[in-house]
Amino acid sequence: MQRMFRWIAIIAIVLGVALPVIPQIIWSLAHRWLFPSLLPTEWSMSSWEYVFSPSSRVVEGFMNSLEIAVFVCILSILVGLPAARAIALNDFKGKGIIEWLLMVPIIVPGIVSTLGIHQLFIRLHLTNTFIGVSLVHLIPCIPYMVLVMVSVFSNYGTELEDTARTLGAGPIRVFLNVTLPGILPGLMVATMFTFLISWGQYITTVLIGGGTIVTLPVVLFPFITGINYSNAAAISLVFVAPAILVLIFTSRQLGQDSAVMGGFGRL
Amino acid sequence: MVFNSRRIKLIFAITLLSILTLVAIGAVMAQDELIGEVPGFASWEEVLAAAEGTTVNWWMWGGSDKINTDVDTDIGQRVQELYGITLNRVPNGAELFVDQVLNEAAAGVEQGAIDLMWINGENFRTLADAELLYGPWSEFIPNATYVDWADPALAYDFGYPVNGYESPWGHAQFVMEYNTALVGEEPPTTFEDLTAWIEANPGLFTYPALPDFTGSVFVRHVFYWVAGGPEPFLGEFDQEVFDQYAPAVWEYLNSIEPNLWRGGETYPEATVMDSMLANQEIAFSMGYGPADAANNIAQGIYPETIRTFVFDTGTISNNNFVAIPFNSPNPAGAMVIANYILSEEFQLKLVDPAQWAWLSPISPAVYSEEFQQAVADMELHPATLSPTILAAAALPEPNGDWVTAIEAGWIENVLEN
Repeated sequence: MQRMFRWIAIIAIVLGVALPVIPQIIWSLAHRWLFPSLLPTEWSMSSWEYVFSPSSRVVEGFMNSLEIAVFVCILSILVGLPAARAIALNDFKGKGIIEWLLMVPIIVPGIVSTLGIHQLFIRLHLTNTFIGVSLVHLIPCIPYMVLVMVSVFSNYGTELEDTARTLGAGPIRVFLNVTLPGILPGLMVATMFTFLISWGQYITTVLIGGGTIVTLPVVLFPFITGINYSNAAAISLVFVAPAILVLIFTSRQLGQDSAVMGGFGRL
Repeated sequence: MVFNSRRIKLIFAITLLSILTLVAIGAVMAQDELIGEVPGFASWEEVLAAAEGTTVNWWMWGGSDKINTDVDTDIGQRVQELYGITLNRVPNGAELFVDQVLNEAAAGVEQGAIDLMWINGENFRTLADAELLYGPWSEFIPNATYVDWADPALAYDFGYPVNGYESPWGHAQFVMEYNTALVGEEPPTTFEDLTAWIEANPGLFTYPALPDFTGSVFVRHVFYWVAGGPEPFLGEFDQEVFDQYAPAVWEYLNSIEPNLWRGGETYPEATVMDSMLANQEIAFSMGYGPADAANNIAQGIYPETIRTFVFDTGTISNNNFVAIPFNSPNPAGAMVIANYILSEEFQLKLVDPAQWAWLSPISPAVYSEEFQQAVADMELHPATLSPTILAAAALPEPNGDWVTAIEAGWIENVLEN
């Protein structure tokens, strides 16, 4: 009985991920798909040829997005991990305020803070730079990193760390051999969120990157407001591909037996 | 035949005049000099020398794969070969350019992100008013000799004087698109006929909600129609004149509203309207690109049955311009590109229906005979009207303040009515 529910859940999740992608795949190959035809009346690879031509800047945008997202993940871990640990394991004055401040970027729309940051970044010569764009992505990313890691550290006992220390392990050894293995599944999930949030940033990238840092959403956006659905669909597929890969990869890391289901049980 | 001295004199004079004209034309064509002084450079050689080996960041709208590819190949590759300039096309939306320049100005940035930008109308006005543009330069680059600066459509951008701060490179004219499968071969080319058609075929006509610029230009045509021509709206904004015509326009638009798409409860966006035309949900669309319908048919977005027409009383036209912001790190490279896109070589690709399929802001007469012959030999797509028909129907844009008043008035009197 439990097995059956499990399979139904797996099928539901696979369909949920795959169904919206199917029309995109058809659109990306359609040359003419007009009402009332159920399927395109003419097919063509021209959108895919455009995607991989230098003029589309899709490959360039993909690489820029990837580099920025990875860098943002590293920064998020450096900032978010100590913060989450401190909040989860210690009581201190002003903890409530700090917790609240960390959540503010989720409540305040990104464009509001970014417009203010833009002026500051211009003075600091951070606009139109890789670092500047990464730093501005960090703002919406930090809350997710901290939220997930606080819940991980809340269920985490420091006794094993104490034991290791009494046995003579240094701080680096304790972190690598005791702390990290303990929090790794949660850290994976938090990093996945961070990656995807950075990957999807549009308006912050445009404002701080000044059009010089061309990421995939920057390339995609003018097309989804236009009428060439075929090109928009092809670029969208390139855009969602890493998200699906990250999802599968992370759940594989988290689960013991099932790639798609396993990780969610632990969350 | 008698050769009297008068006749000989006449022949001599005509010959001399022809030779002089040829020399003058030759001089114009061979000219590669600045015609006036541009900020920071003493000669065109200096501009070319400063531009060589540099990168030009050209900000432009990026939502058309065709324009993106055409710019990269026909402009990017050529300026690389001719002048050693790397063109970095920055795809974006035009309203972002203005924000970018305003923000940089507010923070005192001297080396901005933009070298060249494709703007016009409201955006140009905003930046020119704030004195955030480099110049004057556009009347002084070598190929500015091709531009007829006496033409009000080139000397003014939506009524705002260009004064050397913008250089033209393309021409746009409003056309109506229609589906022959729903409308037939004879489209309604007057507002009277169009009104009758809408009444007889409820639900198949609409226009984009203002302040969308396509919807806005459609309503400007209604103003011209009600006033019997564009003349009342070409000068400075005048509230009395506006109040004289506006009520009739609102009354007309409200009278057709029940027969519009979805009973006029809602108005679509311009791009959505093109998609609805393609899928036969409506019978007409409209826009500033006379060749857009042909391009959309070629790309499979439109069915083969779409054609275009202009109103018998004419349609509004304007020009596409490029401008250089005050803090461009590379005004020399930007000017070389602005100059190249006015050249005969590029304009020939621009007007070719098989290549760019745009309209030119330049009269073909200023270019060589080969150019004119090539243009005469070009075959138009059946969905594109000939440049002659379009030119004969061209009407000027009103002053920018009229546009603002019309948009506000429409929202108050038609949308919220």
